[in-house]
Amino acid sequence: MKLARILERILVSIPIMLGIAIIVFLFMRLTPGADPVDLMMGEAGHVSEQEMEALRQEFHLDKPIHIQLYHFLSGCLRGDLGTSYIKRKPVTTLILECLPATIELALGALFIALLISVPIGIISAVKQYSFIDRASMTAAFFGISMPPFWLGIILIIVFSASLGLFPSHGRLPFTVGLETITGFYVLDSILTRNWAALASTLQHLFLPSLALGAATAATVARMIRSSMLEVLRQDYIVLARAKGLTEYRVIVKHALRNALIPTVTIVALQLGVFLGGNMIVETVFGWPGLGRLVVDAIQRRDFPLVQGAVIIYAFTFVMANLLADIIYTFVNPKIEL
Amino acid sequence: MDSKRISIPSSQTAGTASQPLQQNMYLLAIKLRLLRQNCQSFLRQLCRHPSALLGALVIILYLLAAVFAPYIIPQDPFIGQLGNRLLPPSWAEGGQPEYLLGCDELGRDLLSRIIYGARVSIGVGFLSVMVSMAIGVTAGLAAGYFRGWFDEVFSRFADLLLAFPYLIFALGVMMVTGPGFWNLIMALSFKGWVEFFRLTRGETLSEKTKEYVEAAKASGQGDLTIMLSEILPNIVHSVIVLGTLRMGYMIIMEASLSFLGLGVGTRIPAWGSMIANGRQFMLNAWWISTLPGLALLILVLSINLLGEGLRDILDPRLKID
Amino acid sequence: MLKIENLSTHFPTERGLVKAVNNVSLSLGRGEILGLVGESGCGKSMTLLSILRLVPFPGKIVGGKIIFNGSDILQKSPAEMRRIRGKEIAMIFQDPMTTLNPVFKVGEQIGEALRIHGLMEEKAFRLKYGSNKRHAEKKRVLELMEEVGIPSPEVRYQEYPHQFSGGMQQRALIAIALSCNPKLLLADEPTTALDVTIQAQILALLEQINREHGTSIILVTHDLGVAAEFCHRIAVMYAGILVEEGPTEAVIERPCHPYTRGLLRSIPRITGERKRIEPIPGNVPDLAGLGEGCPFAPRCHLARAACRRNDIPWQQIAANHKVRCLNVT
Repeated sequence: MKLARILERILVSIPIMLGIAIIVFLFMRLTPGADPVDLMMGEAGHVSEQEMEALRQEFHLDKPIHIQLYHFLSGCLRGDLGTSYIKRKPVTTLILECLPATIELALGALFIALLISVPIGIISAVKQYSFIDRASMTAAFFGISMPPFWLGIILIIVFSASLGLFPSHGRLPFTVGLETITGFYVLDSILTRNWAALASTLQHLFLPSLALGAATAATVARMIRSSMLEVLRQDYIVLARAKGLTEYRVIVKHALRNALIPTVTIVALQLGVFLGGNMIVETVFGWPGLGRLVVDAIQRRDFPLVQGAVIIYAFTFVMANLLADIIYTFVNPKIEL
Repeated sequence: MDSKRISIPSSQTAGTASQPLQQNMYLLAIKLRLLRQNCQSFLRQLCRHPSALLGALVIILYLLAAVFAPYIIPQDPFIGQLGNRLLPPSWAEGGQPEYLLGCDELGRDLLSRIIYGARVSIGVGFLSVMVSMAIGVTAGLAAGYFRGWFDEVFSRFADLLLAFPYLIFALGVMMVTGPGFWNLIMALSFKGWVEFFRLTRGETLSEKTKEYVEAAKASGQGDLTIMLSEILPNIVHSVIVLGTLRMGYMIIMEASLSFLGLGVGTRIPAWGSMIANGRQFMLNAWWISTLPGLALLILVLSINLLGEGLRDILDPRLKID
Repeated sequence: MLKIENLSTHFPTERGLVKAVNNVSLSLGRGEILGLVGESGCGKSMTLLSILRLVPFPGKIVGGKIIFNGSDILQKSPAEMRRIRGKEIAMIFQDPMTTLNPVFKVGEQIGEALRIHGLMEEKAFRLKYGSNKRHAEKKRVLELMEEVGIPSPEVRYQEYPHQFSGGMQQRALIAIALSCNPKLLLADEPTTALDVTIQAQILALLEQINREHGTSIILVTHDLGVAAEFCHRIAVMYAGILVEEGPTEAVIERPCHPYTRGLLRSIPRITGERKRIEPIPGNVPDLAGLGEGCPFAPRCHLARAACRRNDIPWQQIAANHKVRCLNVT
């Protein structure tokens, strides 16, 4: 039953992840004019031929491509994604350092997106063609057409520069000390009972979360509205009314449960989008996460770091898909097999 | 509404030598008339859809501006006068009427640069959708029609590409190829074809089982004829709708890449890089970042308006969301 | 017990005003089964939904009275209306597949009306099923499931609607309708979506309910044969108006309206002499463009100029048998 289906989904995602790793590796390695050692030399300055040879050996670059691939894949399995050419640190360490900031931002965006979209979607469907419906659907249309970096800049100009309500940059100012335990600042500040840091963290989190979550809020609100409208036309809604239920219960119990089935899948997928689409927002808000790390790495052509980050992005994306599938299995009673 | 899904049973139009030419001409005439009627009814419906019409008009305006950019720009978009550095828009305090939207950090006229930027956005958006569409529809038709190893290979590859977030994938390609107009189009199409492939493949699979295809097969038509003259006309509406909706997305992607410094390069004005440059002057010269973004927003908004309108008109079954 | 007077339900549409229910008057005694017969789209279902005041948007009840147990339903507040729905008047729908909510267990759906109407708190129920509300509700639901003929109710209680067959789903819906012992049951084509053998079972079940509980039933059907077999009285509806009404035998033996005759002739028969099935020529008219006069006139071979002019008055044929046709004397 349900467990077998979930297991099957997990098994299916294994070859996909393997494929991802291979594609990324080949793509990066077969790129012309990107000899990693040359690139490193550009940073280091004058190096002798011997030293270059030593570097080649260190990164297995002297071996044929399939041996390199083997080293790379077995490294991936051990959690070793190679060493950054430029920062001279293990890629895994660099990524792990940034990951909590990125996840915190993604969760913040998800929270804001749901907070906005769920009530709006329901109200718009129940009061179809009303003023609220038209206004919020127009706003949602703007939301899906809005380039996220531009929204970020507008938010900074309005809320940060003009009104001074929220900070525009980073996760915490240096003046606020915080002992990091998990790397998630919200969690850390609660754990250490550092309320000043908590307040500041939330303030810093707000604008980037809004910029990242706005498009999703718009998508999800439209989605909830249309599936609610679809559900409200169904016979079982008439039956629920004919039973003598209050309109509130008809909508919240009978309609919403059904309308949310397709929506939860989309929401879980959006988590993947948040984790994978954060380069822009992290750059705009100077958020020290994975997105900024990878943009920086791309600009400096730090191939192993980009390679590792792309793999991590793709893995989280696949995981989000898997999560969406699993959630769908649980919320839809029709899947029993 | 109903007329547009009509496919003339063209088993006779295939034109085997034994058939009289006259009959073929006659059927061709019918086909052309139906096509004209379809176009007319489409235009009539478009006119009754005010938001789609508005979107189409704005897009035409942008298109004209992009095509005739060198003739309509008020100032030189490439060379600025340092005296005009951070000049505010004409309506703001200190603005000058000949620099309508003000100047950027190098004293270049913002309006002229925005008009030039439309060329990049529209060009990249349109061409990358076209390339994606060409690859995706061809592969999708073949995969859905023939199935077999071809379908298997392309479907698996598509699944694999779908596992990458779009932006990071395009960024990776741009990093390898370096900035440039055609490189941008390649980077965006590299993954862009997947959606067209999946749509076309699915539609082909379901169309393939319908009677009119069976009939065409029974009358001895070749596979290529059936794909191009029987199946394709019946799925082209969905493809057009998807193409329009994807164009807005591609344009945002192009701007995002330009924003991150991996666009057409620094020489050519593009909205994304203009926004990025203006970021450091956000506090004292807000117009440098916001106005190109506004131009971008309006264009994408119009494309989406048109796309959703087209979906209402052409694809009322609402398959694409 | 139920008396409908001049009920009108209208739908404003782009093509014009649709009078889905047009000046309909009906009455129903305690324990009586009334058949409301007509082609699809003639306003039968809307009549039922009007009784529950659940006419879908943009439809609206624009006039008339619905006297139920001595008071007018149309004058009641929404809260009073909710106490009637499900408890006093229950409804069975046409398509059981889409009428059960797919995400809730069947047992839970049957028990829902009991819970919201607070039935398990009533004294008679407390004595019979015990005072623990949850146990009492389950006991009552299992009893209902047994009554409507759902086998192994203990198992079925825990299942979801999609695990039920069409006939079982309809039985579950009947159980929902019966749960609060309603005085009036509105059955909207309860057998249309089912196989013929199941149809007979469901009708037999409804008949049994009528006999054992004295529940009045309005059965909406397009099948005059079903109505003839099952109902005490028959009312024939066409394009939003009633055209003939009378005891079943009278309507079947001596149909007076040309439409009723047409319906009778179009029933295929297995027994008796072999006659050709005669379909009624033409289609149900577009309700939006209906003019004055008898709406059946365009399809009627007896139609005269007078038929198209004014509203046709009722004519009494026999004690309880009346018809709306100018050609009957």
